[in-house]
Amino acid sequence: MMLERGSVIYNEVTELKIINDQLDVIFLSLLSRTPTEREVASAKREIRSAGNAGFGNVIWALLNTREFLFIQ
Amino acid sequence: MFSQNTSRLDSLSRRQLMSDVARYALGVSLLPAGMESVLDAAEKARTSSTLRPGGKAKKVIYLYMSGAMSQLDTFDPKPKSDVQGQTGVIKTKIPGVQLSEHMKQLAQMSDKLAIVRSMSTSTGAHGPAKYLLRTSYRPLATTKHPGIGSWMHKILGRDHKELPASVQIGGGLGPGYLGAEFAPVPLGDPAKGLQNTTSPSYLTESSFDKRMKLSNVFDSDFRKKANASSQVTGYDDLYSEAIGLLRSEDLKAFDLTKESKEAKEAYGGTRFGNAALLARRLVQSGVRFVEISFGSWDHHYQLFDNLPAKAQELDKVVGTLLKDLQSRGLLDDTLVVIASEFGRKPKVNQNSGRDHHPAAFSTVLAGGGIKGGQVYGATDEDAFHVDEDPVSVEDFNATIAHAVGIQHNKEIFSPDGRPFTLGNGGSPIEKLF
Repeated sequence: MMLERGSVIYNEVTELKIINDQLDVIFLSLLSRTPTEREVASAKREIRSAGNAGFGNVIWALLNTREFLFIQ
Repeated sequence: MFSQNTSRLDSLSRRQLMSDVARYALGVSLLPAGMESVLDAAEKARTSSTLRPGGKAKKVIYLYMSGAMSQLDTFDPKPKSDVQGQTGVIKTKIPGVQLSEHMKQLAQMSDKLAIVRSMSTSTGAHGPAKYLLRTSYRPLATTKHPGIGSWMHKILGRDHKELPASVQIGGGLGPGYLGAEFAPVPLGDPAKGLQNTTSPSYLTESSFDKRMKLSNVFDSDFRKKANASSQVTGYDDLYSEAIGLLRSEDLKAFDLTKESKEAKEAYGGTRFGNAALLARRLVQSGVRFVEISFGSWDHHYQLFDNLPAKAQELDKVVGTLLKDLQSRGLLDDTLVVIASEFGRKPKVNQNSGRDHHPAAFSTVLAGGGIKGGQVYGATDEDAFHVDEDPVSVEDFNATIAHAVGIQHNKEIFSPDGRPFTLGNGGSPIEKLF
């Protein structure tokens, strides 16, 4: 549901054109912080290989981090 | 530096701690090695002189009668008293012992039961009494205590590498200070088994693994920071176990459709019946502790209209369960418990019901090394007060601990360093073993 058209995160990500900005939005939305360089690199690799589904995978992966569970 | 394994929460007994500290800090050994076993033996002798060794029970099926089951209308009837009301009595196989007329099957199987009639508890409010029954402790704002299933998981480990150590059907307590790793697996409807266990069609195993890997990359910094917290690391274990379980063949232990029609019919096909059948499947497959909540026994109104069907269902399901366990050779190492948070006031109220009564109630134990065919303790002529051999909730839990081979006074420590025992000062009932 979060990954469907009309959800806040979907709209905000699709409005942006630059992948770094898109990743910033995703990380800020879910973890309230910007990604580190290493995270950007991994996420880009994923998105490059999986296309749009890659965004979904990145979001899913973030939702399943302990950081998300225990966010301060 | 300590000689024992000191992973968080692992219990280092006080004596062990003293001797370790002395050895390392002062360079001396408080006790010569040989002395310790002498001390252990002395301690055992002090706490229990005639207690037969327990530990025969490898599994527990805990039937929790939610809402406080009336003792008079089930396991402790008083036919000579006015308070008995409309509930009749029947004979059992134990000479001189009667049960309520609703307990037909269990009366015939009373040679397997140890009926404890002298239970009492310290509170007449459902919430705190339930908590006390399940943990041996009163609820505290600062500490959440684990239940028996989490204790068994912690002390005895799991019996099967994929299946969870403990399962709750219809509610129960969380793992308390033991953390997510020791959490019982909750189930709602037993007929549906474990829900949400199949992946959506678009998610293959390899893409799932890829996602998990990505998740681990994103999470690595946080975990480095949070490594010291058992709360966080507990979830790592939970995740890997859940994934293991989802891909395991053993998941079919949760699937009631694998049972025959006859088996389902024997258990009555009710929610409680299905839960008991599932519990038998689970303990057979290697789950240590299954708790089933069966409610609601809170008969403030119209008890004589509402209780019979419930009591008869209990009788039928437990009767079938005990027979089933026995025919499969599981009864010797499976402890079956029927418990409730307190009893009901003998005097029938103006709404033809019975109100809360913590001063006296009944519980039942069977299998798992418990000596059947006996009634332990007694209440007065109205089942109002305990007359003989009082049993506290702590004693009752110490008895369960003993039956499953956990020392009732073995200490474990919460993350803030407080010691807790499963019996919380109670003692096992010697005569039941």
